[in-house]
Amino acid sequence: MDFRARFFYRYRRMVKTLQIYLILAGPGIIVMVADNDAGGITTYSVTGATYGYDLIWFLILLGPIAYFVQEMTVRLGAVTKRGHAEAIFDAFGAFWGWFSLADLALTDWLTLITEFIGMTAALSIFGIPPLITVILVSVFMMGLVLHGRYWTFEKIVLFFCLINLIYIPAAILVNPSVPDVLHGVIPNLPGGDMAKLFFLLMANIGTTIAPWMLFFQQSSVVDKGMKEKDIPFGKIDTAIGAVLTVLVAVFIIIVTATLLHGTGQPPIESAAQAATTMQQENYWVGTILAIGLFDAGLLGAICISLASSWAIGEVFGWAHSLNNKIREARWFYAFYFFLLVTAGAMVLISTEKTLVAVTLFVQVIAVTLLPAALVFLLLLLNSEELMGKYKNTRTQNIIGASIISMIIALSTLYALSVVFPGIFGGF
Amino acid sequence: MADTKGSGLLKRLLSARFRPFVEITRKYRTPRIKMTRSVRIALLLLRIYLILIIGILAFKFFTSGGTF
Repeated sequence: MDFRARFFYRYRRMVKTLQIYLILAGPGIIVMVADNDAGGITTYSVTGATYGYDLIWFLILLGPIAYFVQEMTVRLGAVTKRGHAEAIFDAFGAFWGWFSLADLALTDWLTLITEFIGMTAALSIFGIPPLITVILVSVFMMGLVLHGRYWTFEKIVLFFCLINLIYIPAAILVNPSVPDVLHGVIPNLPGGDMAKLFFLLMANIGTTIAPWMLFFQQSSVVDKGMKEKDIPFGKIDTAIGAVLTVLVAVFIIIVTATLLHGTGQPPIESAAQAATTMQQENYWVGTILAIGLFDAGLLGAICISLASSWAIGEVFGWAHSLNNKIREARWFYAFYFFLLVTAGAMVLISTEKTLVAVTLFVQVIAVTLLPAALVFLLLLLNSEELMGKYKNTRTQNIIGASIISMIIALSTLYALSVVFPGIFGGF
Repeated sequence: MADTKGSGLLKRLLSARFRPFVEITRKYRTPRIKMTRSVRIALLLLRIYLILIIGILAFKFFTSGGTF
């Protein structure tokens, strides 16, 4: 009887914990899955088509790195009840605050344009003109936030995160060689042009940690109303998100490596090109890649436009919760719509040359924001008066500082290699 | 006279437009984080990094005729 009672008690406790987790789950999974945005899908497709399965291990390594950085935003948001932008203003003063906010607004807007480029390219494969795509996406994204409930918004976005897992059945469909895939899990450096390899490694790191992610998750934690006691659940949520983001990245590599690597096809330069080429080999897999690209662009667009709107709302003191109706937070929603409409319009009215310039420029401009946002994050997490018992431990600081130094160094080198092609030996 | 009225109106309009920015700047004038030695060093290194990187990017931008 005693055993049965104990078992029942433990079972009830587990169910209760799971129920609480399901209520609190969201921000971590959304931010991590949205991290595989249109630019990310392109990077993974190019990586798989160029190096086959050889760099799978590298993407697996990026998972814990992304987790470690994003976990800090959970603690900061839950303890301070402030978004990252407001926290920077408050802790470091107006100069750094304005710098971060202006940089975030510009970087996010440019990244939003690249998401629209990805979505229009994906739907063009199905014969849908860019104008229709931009209108449909804008109307959907407006509708998504206008019902005045954070909970509903989050569950709909989680559904789109689920669609992102479409690459797993695609990988099964292409029937990859399992021993070759497992060989890719073991760290190794493929031969050939080292400059090209280094460029792709840096590009993969660049897509793993983006500035908007820090701002999005912290604001999202605040909007959801998470408290200090919810931090363990926030960590689990972020860890699950990190596993999912790595899974998606690895399966994209498996798909593109199996169908496009070493086939003598022209070099793959975008996910849309990869999807079209793959449709000739296997129609359904190419179609899945195109659907996944659209979904990734949509998720990225949702998170990026919200990251900016939350940040601006926090600093300007506007009502800025998704729990607010439109009349209660009209400036917050107006800014969100403004971002959507202008980014969508840019894609429609710009020439291809301008859009390529935007894609390059966003990689360059991000390098001015990412180091600042990461350094502020680490400093804030070390503030005793701000974080109390939730401040970073010595071990967390050593790991955090190492990761942040590496990200800053590699993202800077990546931006420089974009600006000065050939700086690392001809690529 | 009309000019003075016009410029006054413009001034008031601009001042109203920029008031939130001024108020936010005033509100967050003093950093609240404890300025320990490590915080000062980190912020100094960040300034140097940003000046260098923005300098390099600006140099490239202007020497390549307004593009990257």
